[in-house]
Amino acid sequence: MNKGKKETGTAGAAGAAPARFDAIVVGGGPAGLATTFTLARAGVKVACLERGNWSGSKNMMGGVIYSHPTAAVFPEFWREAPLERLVTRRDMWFATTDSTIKASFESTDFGQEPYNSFTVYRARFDKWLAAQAAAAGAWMITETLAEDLLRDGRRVAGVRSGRPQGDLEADVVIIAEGVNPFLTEKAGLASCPPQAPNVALAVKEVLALPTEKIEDRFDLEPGAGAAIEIIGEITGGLPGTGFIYTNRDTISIGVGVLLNSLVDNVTEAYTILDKFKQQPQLRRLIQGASPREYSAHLIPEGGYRCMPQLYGDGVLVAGDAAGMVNPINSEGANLALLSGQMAAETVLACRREGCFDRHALALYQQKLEKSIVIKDLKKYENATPFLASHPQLFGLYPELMAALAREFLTVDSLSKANKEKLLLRLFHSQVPTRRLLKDLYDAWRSLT
Amino acid sequence: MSSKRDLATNIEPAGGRIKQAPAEGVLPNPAELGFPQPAPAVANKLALVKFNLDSRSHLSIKDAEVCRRRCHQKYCTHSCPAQVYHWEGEEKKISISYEGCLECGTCRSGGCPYDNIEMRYPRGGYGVQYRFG
Repeated sequence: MNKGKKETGTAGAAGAAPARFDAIVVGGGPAGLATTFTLARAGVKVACLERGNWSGSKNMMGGVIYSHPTAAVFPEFWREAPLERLVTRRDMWFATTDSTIKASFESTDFGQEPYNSFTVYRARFDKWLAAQAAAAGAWMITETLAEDLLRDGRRVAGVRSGRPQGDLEADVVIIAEGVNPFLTEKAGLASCPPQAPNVALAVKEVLALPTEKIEDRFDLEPGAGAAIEIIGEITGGLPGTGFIYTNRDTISIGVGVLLNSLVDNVTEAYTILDKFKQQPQLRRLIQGASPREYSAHLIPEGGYRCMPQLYGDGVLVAGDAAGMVNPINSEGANLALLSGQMAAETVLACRREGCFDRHALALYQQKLEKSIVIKDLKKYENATPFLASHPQLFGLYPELMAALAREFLTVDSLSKANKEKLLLRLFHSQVPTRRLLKDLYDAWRSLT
Repeated sequence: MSSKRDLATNIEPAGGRIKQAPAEGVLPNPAELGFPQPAPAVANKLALVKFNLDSRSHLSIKDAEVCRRRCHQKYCTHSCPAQVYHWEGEEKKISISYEGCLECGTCRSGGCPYDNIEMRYPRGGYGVQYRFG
């Protein structure tokens, strides 16, 4: 047991660290840090390996962290964590190359404790999470790549790190390595091959703009934020979405597109992003903003069907590495945090029994099954195949909605009766009734 | 050398080879070192990203013949969001500007439909270092 909280590791302290731990966590993102923090607080001697210079330096997402699941692991995190804006408005835009239909939800309720969501920079937010884990007594071993697993027969017995004499032994290893599941594959736990169509590629730019301009342009109270999801021609008609999130004095703007459709269409993600930024209604929001950073990341969208085996002898898998992303609601970090916490709870329960074989660690699966993690993944298990096979949702339908709205709102010499006929004819010419019914049926089958 | 590449920078390209191993340390922009540079759209974006440059590549082509004979589209030159891969028309091979790699994993996840790219993570502490993320 780790009684000495003063043992707190610092960046690059691996040389001084003992080579044996109760638990080793691979990866300092939301999943890994939820595990590390929860275990350290319970007095377990736990090390977290992070290949970046600090936790967060390799991490990227659009930008929204949900309050409820985060607070379940890090209570009242909003008092100290580096947050950008409190999200009070969620928009869904259907955009073509020149027009937009906007659906917007805004609530003062989102502005009350415990809040709903915040925009964050992962490079700073994850660093803060890691600091909480370190303060709780965990060894944060940064600049250290976990290259392989150590084995004792069938059992995973530790991690081979990239450092000299870098073998670290443990009773249990929690793999929270993120979307590229190198170790999960090595552990023989992966179920889908890493190749598409199981992933989306997201590219993003952070654009600097003065605080007042952001609040004026997005019509926000001071400190409040907007999160905008955008569907339509802006992804070049490929299955994907665009997003805009407001930060304190920057805007995060990006697109995420299913990788196999990008490859099939021989299209570049950054070309889509550059076109996206030129869309007139979007361009207005980011006018005059100066780019600060460009980033790219994969999103595991294979869903429930592509989840790896989540436990084995001496090993658990959590977060993106376990494919825990809900592509419909753009959730991932919340599922990562919850799975990380459940991994830690499983380890604590197994420590009481003194057994970390796969039968004991199966408790992790049971916990996940009872939680929103697997419930939501199961609900949307057909979502990604559905979206991939219905590109009209991202091209034709938004285009048509905009055309109908334009025609409806245009006042000209046409009588209203004829206008109605024209609208119906326009719709039917693009979407025959049979096609519409089939699409609705498919959507109902796949998403409910 | 492709026309896209010619537009890249006014820096003399080093032919895809590191003539002299650069000092290891934080370098804000690989463009300054005269490595082969991607097309401007991406080069401008990558110039904003901080890299902790390693002297060895973490990316490699498994079989150059596959690029030469089977892959007509040179998919990786489009799918990689950092345009790390370039088709060298004269030498008939893919060159790799690993210095600008964002470590997303596209090249191992279907970005190369022939699964012909060996991608590893850079050594601990090296590679991309996001300030915002």
